[in-house]
Amino acid sequence: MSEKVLEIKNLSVEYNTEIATIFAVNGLDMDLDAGETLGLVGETGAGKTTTAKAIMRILPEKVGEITSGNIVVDGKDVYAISEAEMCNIRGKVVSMVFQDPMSALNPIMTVGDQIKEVIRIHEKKLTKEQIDKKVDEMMELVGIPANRKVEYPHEFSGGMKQRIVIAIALACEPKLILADEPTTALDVTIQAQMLALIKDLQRRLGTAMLLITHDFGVVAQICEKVAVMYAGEIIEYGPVEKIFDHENLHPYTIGLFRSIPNLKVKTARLNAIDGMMPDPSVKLHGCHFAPRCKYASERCKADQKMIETEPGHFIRCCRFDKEQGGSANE
Amino acid sequence: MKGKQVRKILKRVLQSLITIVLLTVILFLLMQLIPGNPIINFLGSNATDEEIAYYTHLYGYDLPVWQQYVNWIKSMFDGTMGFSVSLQRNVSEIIFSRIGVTLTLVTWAFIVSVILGVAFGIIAALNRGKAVDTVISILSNAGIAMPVFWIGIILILIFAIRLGICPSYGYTPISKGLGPWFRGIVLPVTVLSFPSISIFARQTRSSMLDVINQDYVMTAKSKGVKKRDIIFKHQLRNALVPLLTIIVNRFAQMMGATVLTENIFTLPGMGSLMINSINSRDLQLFVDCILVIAVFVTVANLIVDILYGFIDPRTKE
Amino acid sequence: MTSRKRFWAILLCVCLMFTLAACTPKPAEPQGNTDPSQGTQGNEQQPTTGPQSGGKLTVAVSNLFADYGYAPRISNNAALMQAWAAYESLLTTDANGNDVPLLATKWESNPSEPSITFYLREGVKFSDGEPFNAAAVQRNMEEYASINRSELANIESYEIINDYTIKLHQKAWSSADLHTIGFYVLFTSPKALQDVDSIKDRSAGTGPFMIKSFESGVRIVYEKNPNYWQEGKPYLDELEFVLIADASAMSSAFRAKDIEAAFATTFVAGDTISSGCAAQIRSGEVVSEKNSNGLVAVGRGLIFDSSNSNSPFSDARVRRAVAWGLDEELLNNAIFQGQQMWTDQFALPGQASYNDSMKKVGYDVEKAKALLAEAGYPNGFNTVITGAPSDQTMITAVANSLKEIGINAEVTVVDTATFNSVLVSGVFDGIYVFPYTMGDMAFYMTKVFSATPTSFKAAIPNTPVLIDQVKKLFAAGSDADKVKVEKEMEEMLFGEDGYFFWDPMTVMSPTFFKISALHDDQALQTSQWKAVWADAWLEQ
Repeated sequence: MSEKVLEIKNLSVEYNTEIATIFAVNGLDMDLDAGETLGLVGETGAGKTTTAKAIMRILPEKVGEITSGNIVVDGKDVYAISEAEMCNIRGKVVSMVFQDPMSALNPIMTVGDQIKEVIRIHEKKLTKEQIDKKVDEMMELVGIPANRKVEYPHEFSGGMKQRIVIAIALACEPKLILADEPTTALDVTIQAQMLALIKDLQRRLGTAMLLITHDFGVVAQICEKVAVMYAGEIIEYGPVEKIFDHENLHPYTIGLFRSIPNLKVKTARLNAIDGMMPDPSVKLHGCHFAPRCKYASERCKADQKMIETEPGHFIRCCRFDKEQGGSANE
Repeated sequence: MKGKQVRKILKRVLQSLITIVLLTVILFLLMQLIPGNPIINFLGSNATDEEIAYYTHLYGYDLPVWQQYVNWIKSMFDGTMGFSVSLQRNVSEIIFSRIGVTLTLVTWAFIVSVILGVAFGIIAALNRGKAVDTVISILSNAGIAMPVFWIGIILILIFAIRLGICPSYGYTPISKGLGPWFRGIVLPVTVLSFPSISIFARQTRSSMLDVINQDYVMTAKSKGVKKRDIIFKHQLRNALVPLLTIIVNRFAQMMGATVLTENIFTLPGMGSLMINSINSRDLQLFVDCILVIAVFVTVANLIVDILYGFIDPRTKE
Repeated sequence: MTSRKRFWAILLCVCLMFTLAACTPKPAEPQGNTDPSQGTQGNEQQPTTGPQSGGKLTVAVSNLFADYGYAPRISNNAALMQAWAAYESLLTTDANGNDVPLLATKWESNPSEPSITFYLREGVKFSDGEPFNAAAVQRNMEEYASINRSELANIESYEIINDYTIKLHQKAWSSADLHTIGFYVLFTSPKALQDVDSIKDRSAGTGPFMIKSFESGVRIVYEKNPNYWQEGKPYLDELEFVLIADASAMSSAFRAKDIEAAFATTFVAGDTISSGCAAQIRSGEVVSEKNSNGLVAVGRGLIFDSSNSNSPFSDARVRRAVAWGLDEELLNNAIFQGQQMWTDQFALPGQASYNDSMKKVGYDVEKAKALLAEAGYPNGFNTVITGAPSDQTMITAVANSLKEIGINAEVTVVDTATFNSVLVSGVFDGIYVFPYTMGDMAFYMTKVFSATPTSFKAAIPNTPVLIDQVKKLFAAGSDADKVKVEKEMEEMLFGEDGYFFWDPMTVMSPTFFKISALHDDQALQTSQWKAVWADAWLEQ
């Protein structure tokens, strides 16, 4: 059995603004093994980025707060250690790739220097020449000629900037990489390239990856496992093949799949899921999806548990609870 | 330095020179329009016609305007910068004796206001919404609103009259000792830097706030960069870019603002020289004063323009 | 941040600012009369000892001249006050206005030759060691003449009778020459005059002090002249005049004890220093002196554009109407709080040439209106009144008063340099403020009434009868004659039927503020712009 690189138990995250309190993540559980790729899927506002930032401990100070649960990265409880120790972990043990490459790089530092920065922080024993060599290596690795390391971010295209971001994220060979919608801001044509690159690097370095996305296509391409997030909690989790079978899934997941337009069939309207995401400033009880679910019943008012419908496949829906006499066909 | 950069710099220098030359022409023409005569002011209202005619010819004020202008340009190159009727000596001698005071005053006020202003701005930005931020913001607004004259008088009242540790007038050159020099300069520098500190604090605060939540700051955090380095290497350096323009503008304004400070503290600088030259209609002296100040401001702008090329690589294109 | 915290933060800041403001002392309102008293030594206490040697006196002034080294160029009154530290003239005056000897011990006028003879003091040396004698006197006077100084315009030739006697032959007899030459020609060592560069910012005079250093526009420092001809004097080691342009800065400097004296040339400046140092004046620590004999005083009147035939002021009746319609004495006392003198003619009451017996113009609004009607302006007219920035209060008050007799005067203020240029050209509309130096009537009237006037040229029309009168003034042989002619002129100008080319409004007097430890400076006592620096001493 491989060491768990990431273990999240019962995580709840709140944002305390002056106007209201936002319950962004509610009782989230998640695990990741070494080298594994997990796709975290959900609509905007589901709490995916918040989860990633919570793992990195870069939630906005004072405003963002963990109200329950804990996060263990590579055996260390992220919120129990000091900030100085956390700085050692960020970039070295776990790193992040952000969504918008256009603004992710410091405009007044050369790209080489930005890669160098992360290496210098964590690999204190390397000499200057060794660091420079490493920078060159990383650039070549992501497919950018090393002699361009003296150039500034504005001299690169969006796709190349994203590659540099990836280079920075992988420079210190982290155990876990959090990729927050890394291809959303790129052209579709580049998307495939980028995903292939990420997957290749990940395999080479043995890095585990939490890939946040709202695009099932991306999940299908490179993820082994997938978790579906709704209103701050995981409502479905399992291996990609099982879930992409489209059988016996959480009603929300079914809705998601159905909403993907079929290019071969002529349709007048897209299939949307009825209703809207719940107001995040209201603390939810019971099944978060119940208000929109056509199968909703009295039992949905109780807090739902994750139920293993087949080995490794979990669904948070009481309809699948055979002990309670539930059946997917109800 | 690459050839392209050098060419660009030379182009800017040339532009500055043209600006200054144009300025001299405009100033010269403007002074002709103002009523009043330097000769009459110098000789007094008891002067006879013959006296006036004699001195007008002696000092070349009877020449056609274009020739007066040419003579003046010539005087730049022979080092005299023309002859001041009201002070009866070469303008270069007068300006040389006075410019030290103004430069000392402005330089120190500038350094103090940049350091304090930027520091306060950073503190306010990092503690946004908290007590520190509100206090700094209010004091900044007050600093801009408070009349400079009033601040000066209050300071003289407290430190010169009540406590007697600073002189109430005059400039103490450094040759009299570091202590006396400091005591003589600290009040005028405070007065001159007050509005600038406020402006820099406000501007730095808003620049920093702009930068604080930028995506690249998040990237830096996720790399494990320590908080202090985030502030100075990532946030401040980026915030400085728009700040630099404000800082340079302020320097230019300060050269003009010294007039009031020099008046309050009776400092023999360029500001008071300019006012006196206007009052005595000493055309030669006035135009030279403006020219000197304009040169300083232009050079400052030029330096910053060049610096920008190094600081913000985006402007290189 | 919560609104509660914000409230406390704001409160804190406001309290901070009030505390700062509270640091100012109570603006001491002068109780009763702290007006610098008109007249002699003010509130000066009698010194407890005799004159003590030593010490440095720093005097704040609002103007510095360009170069105190080349004396012939110095004619401005304020500059003379400082220049008299290093240079002396043949005569000086006492507190009653009589001529007393200085570098000349005796003098004789001979109207028939015509000539003036000066007997010089023996044993006087210039500060560079050269002797003061008749040759030196001639050399200096020639220097003055060479730069067209009007004082020497009437001298045809010099006759050196002996080393200490010199006779000046005049072109025509002029009663003004004695005083103007005797008072205004300053003497520099002939050796220094040979090499003018050697006295750039340096002095070579006979006075009690010599220039130690001069910073243009900043200060002039004089040090004791070891060769001064009065034994034991000067008492002071050093005398410094420092330029402080702002009157409230002068006041602060006094209170901070950075200066020992200040010379306020305008009423506003004097007022500022009086109120700023009110506490010190009340306690006697600071004393103020003013001039009362009116010598070399500067009068300020209202002059009309009488030579403009389209202007109502070309009619003498209109001008007299203004004189009748203004209560000049009341206005003067109200505007200047009784601190400036006033006269209804050229001379001051008490002076020899003051005409007390003539029929005068008083204050009578009806009479003024009648005169205006007679001149063809029964309903008054519109005009303009212009002054320098320091005259604003005065001309506004005058304009308001003139409304009562139907004259609507629009008040205009121009800056000093513009104001000065009109003083020479005389081109203006309506009413202008007219500064004139009171003193020898002939010397000053000739600037206005002569074939070639130098002041207000265009304003005053050519009036042969007045020009003749001025010539008579110059030709007056004896003092008694002179006084008679002067009184005639007063009546011609300011009598009931007078020309009234200008209406006298006020007589300015500068104020000299000093610490009470300074004695015998006699500042402003002998004349409005003079102090006797040789006699001044500081009580240690």
